Amino acid sequence: MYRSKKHRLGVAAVGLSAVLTLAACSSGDSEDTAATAEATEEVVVEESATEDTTQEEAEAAEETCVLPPGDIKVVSIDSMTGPAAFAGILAEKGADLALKEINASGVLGDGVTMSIELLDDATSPDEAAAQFSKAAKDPDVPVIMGGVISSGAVVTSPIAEKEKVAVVYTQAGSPGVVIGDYTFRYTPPMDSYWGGVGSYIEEKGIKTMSVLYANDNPTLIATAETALPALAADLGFEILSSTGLPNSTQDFKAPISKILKEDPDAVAVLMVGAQNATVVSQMRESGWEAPKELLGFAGIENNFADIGEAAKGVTWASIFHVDSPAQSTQAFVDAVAAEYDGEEASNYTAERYDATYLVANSILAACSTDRQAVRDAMADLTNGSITGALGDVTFENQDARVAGFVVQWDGEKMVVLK
Amino acid sequence: METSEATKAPTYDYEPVAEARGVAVHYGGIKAVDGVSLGLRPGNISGILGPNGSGKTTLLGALTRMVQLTRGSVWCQGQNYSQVKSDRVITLGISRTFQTVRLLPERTVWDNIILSTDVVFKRQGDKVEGLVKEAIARTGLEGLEKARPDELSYGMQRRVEIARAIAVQPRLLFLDEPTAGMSRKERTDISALMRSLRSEGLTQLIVEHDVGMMVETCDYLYAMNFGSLIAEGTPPVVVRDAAVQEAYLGKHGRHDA
Amino acid sequence: MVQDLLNATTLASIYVLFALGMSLVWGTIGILNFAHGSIFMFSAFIAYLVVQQIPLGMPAVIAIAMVSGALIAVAMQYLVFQPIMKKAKNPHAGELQLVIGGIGLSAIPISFAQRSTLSNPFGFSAGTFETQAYTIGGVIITNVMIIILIVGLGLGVGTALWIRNSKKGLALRALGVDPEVSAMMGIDRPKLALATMLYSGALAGLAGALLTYYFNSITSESGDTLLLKAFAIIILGGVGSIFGVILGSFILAFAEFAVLLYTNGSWVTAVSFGLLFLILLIRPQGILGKKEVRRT
Repeated sequence: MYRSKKHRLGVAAVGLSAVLTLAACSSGDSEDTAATAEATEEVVVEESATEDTTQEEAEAAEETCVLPPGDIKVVSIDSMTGPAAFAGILAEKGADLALKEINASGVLGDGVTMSIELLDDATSPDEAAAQFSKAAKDPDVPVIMGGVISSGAVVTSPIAEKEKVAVVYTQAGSPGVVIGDYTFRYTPPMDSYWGGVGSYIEEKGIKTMSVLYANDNPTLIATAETALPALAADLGFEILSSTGLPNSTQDFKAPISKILKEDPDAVAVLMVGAQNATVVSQMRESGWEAPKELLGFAGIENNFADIGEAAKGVTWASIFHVDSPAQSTQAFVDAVAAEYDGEEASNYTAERYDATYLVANSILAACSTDRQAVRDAMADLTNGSITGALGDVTFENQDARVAGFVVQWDGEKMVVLK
Repeated sequence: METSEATKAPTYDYEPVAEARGVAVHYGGIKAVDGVSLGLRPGNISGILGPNGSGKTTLLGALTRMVQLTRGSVWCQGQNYSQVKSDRVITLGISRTFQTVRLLPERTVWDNIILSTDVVFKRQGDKVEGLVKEAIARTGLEGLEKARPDELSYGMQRRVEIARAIAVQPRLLFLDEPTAGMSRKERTDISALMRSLRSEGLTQLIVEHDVGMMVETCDYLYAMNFGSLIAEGTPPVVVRDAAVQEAYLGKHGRHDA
Repeated sequence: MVQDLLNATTLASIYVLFALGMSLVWGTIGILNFAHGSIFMFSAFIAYLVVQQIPLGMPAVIAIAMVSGALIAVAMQYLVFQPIMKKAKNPHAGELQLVIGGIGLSAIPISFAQRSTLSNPFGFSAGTFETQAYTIGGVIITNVMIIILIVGLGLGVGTALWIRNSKKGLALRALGVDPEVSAMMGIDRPKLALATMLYSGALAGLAGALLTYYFNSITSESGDTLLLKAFAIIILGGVGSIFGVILGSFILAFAEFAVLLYTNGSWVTAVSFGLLFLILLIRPQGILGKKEVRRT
């Protein structure tokens, strides 16, 4: 207990130093980053000491952890190909950026670096399970970063528990992913922040709702079958129908016809990929216009580029927005833009960026690459609040929670409401 | 393909319509046909006799390029056509029917017959129509032009096949077991049809194991067993041949159906 | 009700457009082309890439997709299917190799499009075409629906009639029923195969472009989804029967529509494929398929 406490400040310092390093780097030339990182680190200790820690902890921070020199190899299993590649590829950009910063800062110690061995699960649960098993059986792997697909995560989580190796997921939002001491998730489950839409529902006086959801996506099933009915009971609106459709559905005119007959105040669209765009545009073609509402979910904006104007007014809850007022988020947004040719940061990149820092900080806090020590340090870290690209994140049983934003598509991009 | 002794041109005292020179067809270790040479006499009905599995249908396949030769060559009008693709064989004046009825089930008799002529005589609409009509007349299928194969008796279906084969006006017609599965009456009719085609100058080669029908119809017989020719000559000579009797009649008795 | 019937008919027309080329190739030159879905997707994808650079109207987009589809299909035939057929020891071994070859081939354009789009949907929004909706007697119809209905049903019926009444159609049909006999009748299989693949590829491209307009966007995987449905449609209608494709498309589209209208949706796949099993049990040759008369 004392041991992990002693290192907490050192850990917080890394996280914050990264943010500060970013701020320093993003304005100037990124040559000679190591020097900048070194320079900022002293500042960090001072700042964190004055900011939020007790004297005792500040003293403890001066004890430095010395990891044996060498490369710490972390395995990451992610969907780089297949239908979930859009999320996997963006996620890995976050991991790469975090890794670059961590190694440049030298915070892990002299001659100590961290690297990620990236394995592609090709959006296949079988593939994910096979690669996860291999990584979990390799004792040199201190911690694993898990894939974005729920169907894969529900298979790999029991392996993590059995082999006693910590795994941090991003996305993978379904139940059955965070199941014990060794499973962590840096993406809040949708039902934990979808409630943010509640105030919007009340404000708009929505009394009835019909739901269209993908019945082969665990996250969306949980949202449609659990989170939404709970929200309905809470806010006192009625769900008129809930239609689960397989991913082979491409034409939605039949379910839309059914919904039009029900004439609800709002329709929740919880489909996957191009399906969202088709549902929304076919709803519009069928005459579904304001004040009738269309509600969506996080990530849906990626599907709207091709329908643009038709998606105007679709409202959903998001865990991340580039216009977030949080300073740590803004630093991250700038860093992504600087690293990736002005690219706009996404929630997938943000989650994985933060998760990568959590992994590094856990190793540093444990001051070891021993699996059990790393997992204990990670459990300890996630007991508190962590500030990063997602803003302030807390954890409930090792599962992330954020306040979230209510956002709306304005015809070209998503904007934060209020 | 190796050149062997047998592929040297043999001499015949007539001009063969088609020739097999040392033809061998092996499937793995199985020698379906193993070194057969023969030259078909013009204007004759020749027959290949042999028990099931003796290699006669395979030999027919080799002569129509449907099966690949392991050795030897096939010749037509002095041309080696061993490398010609099977869909060009019909342009050499060689046409055939099959062991079982193989017609287009959902098409009319007319369509089934016009199929071959249209491909061979491209863009000669009038000529094609005339050829089909002629083939129908020669095979006694008048009035059945619009019928579908499954509305016809088995014997009539075989006539459609023959009509399809002769509509392109071939020089040589191969018939693979043309009377198999037929009634006595139908067999007699087909036999008569073949003789009438011969009188019009069409050379034919029949593969059959119905000895009675062969003796009745053919001018010249070849007998095969285990992939090789064991005898040839006029029907009475071949039927009395000791080797033929041993291989065919002796072992299996008369094999009519 | 009229609206539902119209929408279901439009869906059926989409299925016709997609399944037509696949059925034709399978029923005539005997290639069950599992790459048909990726030809469909990639033709639309190429048109999408062009439209991103040059804002084009619908006719130009369709033309690009059709030419792309035709070229991809011909290349596949020439480089993969034809060599497989040539090397196959017997027709049945060949068929299996063709299926596996098709599955393998389909992965290439799909992976390419996935990489390029990050598996996000893509569409022709950068082009100049605008979907217009018209309300006639309370029924909403869009210009895209009108085009799909005319082109889908027109090409379906047209192709079926052409196969039934033309000499080339007769030759193709013969090829489908019995390649050996066809060869003996002088039918040049490789040449007809190439022409059929070209037509089928162009149809896939046309379907790709029209579907993208209709659904507003598709993804790299959209072709695979349709492939399975087309497979069911062809079996339902009977392999080799073009009218069977039209009938099968209507049955599947209307069955799906009915299930989605009157249930909460979960049964849609079970019902469509249940139909398929039913047909396979009571009429294995398909509704309009013919029993073979050969093999006495």
